[in-house]
Amino acid sequence: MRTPPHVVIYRSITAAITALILLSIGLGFAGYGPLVALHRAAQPISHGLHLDRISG
Amino acid sequence: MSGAQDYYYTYPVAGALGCAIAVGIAVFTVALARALVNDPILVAPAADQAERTAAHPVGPGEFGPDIAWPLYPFRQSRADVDRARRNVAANNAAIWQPARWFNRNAKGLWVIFPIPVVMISFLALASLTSWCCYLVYAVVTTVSAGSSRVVLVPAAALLRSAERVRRSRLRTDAACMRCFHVTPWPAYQCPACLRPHHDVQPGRLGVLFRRCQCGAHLPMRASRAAWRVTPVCQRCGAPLAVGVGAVRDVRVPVFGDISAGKTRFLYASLNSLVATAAGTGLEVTFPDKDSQEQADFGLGVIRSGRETAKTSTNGEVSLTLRLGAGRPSELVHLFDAAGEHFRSARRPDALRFLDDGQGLVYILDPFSIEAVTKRLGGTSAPEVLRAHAAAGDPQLTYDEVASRLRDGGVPASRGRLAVVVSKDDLLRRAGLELPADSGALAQWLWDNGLHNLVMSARRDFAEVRFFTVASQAVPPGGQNDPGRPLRWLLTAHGIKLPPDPDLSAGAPGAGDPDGRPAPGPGGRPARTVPGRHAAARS
Repeated sequence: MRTPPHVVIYRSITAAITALILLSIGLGFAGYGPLVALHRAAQPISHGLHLDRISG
Repeated sequence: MSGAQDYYYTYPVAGALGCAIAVGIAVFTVALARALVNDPILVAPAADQAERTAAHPVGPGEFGPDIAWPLYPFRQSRADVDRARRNVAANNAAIWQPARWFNRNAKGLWVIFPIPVVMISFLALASLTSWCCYLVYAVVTTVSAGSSRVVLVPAAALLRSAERVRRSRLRTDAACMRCFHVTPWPAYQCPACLRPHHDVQPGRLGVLFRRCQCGAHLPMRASRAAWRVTPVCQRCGAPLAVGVGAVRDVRVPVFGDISAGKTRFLYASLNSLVATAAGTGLEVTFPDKDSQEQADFGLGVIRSGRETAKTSTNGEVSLTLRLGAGRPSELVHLFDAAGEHFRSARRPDALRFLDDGQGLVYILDPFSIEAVTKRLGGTSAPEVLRAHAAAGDPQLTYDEVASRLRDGGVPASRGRLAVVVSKDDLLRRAGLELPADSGALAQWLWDNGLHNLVMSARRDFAEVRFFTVASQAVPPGGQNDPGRPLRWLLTAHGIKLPPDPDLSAGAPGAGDPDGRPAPGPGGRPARTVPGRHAAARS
């Protein structure tokens, strides 16, 4: 019996969400979690602010 | 130095841990791929139906659950999580096979080397990782299914409520003309496999659409399905008119003694209704071939002034007509049966249509009233013989039907009854005038010995009106117009009919106000057709 499309879609979505969560957990353990990434992304800005403060 | 030594230990340990985690992820990935793609458990409609039937056994007179694919969050999600769990357990059992070998065949190694300890630690971490991954998948699936149900269940309940309100407002029953079974909505046939779906209410099989076992899509809710797929009777499977379950459905049974004029009234009232509708542009159609043929025959008989044939005792006459077109249309069913059945109305199943009638019409032949017959000179008087008077006592026929309704638990006290005194034109020709007003006519019947009938009718039904009708076509709105009782019952049940117009000369069904027959087809004067129609009447 052929699997109906709605079952295929639901399965794909749940599997994709699971994969994303597992990837996030893995990256987090490896030091590339979302907080670390945010911190790194914000580093030039905070550094600039710091320079402004000490020069001012 | 110590830092360099640390690397000797930490790198291999970290590598081993990474490998164990990678193995765990691989174990889970393989298990999930098998559970969802390669070897999944598919909850087929038949299996789902069997489960639901086992959980809620089908009672007498009920229908089993429909065979259609359940929505993923309601059943399949559980099966997938269960399958993934079993696969993860099976894969873990497979990777623990070497550890079992050590435990069984190489116990000495436990003492000499730490190999088994390392291996068990490695496998334990891999298993832990795979089960953690499974846990994430189970939580994701359960939360997804739960949140979907949180949206779907109230949406389905809301649509069901809207449908229920619509049903009660429009009174959209589904009446079968073959078995006379009436249900709140019909079954709808799958357009591909022709399997009937008995309950198309939104629920676990779908909110807007459902997927039949064969793969075809069916719209949910009777108000949508009625126009897209074929409605069929819930009980006998007979095909019903398009729109059944979505449009107002009014059933009007006609009863009376043999030769009282039931069939004549049915056709004459239909003729009047068609004439009224034709004057205002309201479309009157007949949704099935049998009804069309019967209407053609009946209208032909009435318009040509021919005698009506005796209704066969083997079959019932049921005629369905549609007032209006498309979604705003309404279905009207008229029922008739041979008068013999009403002499023992409690028994035959042929009178099943009486039980679900929303308004009843009782045809009373004035020539069967003893006081009237005496006044005309007895049963052998020429006027009485010409009228082919009903032989039975009018009270008996009424009592039989009323008893049937009472015994069957039919709430007649909520219904309406039109007591129709037929053959008014013949009575007038015999020199007797009937009052036109309902109250005055009831008084006339009372005075002529039918006080029990008048009293019982008023007691048994919520509303009773008395009418006189001619046995021929007369213009709508006339004093003895046969359409008046039918129009009263239909408008009382919410059908919007135009007010009786004056018929133009060419309008179908226009007859003489005195009750003389309308011209026949082609404008020729109508003539009474002798032969089988003249031999017997209903």
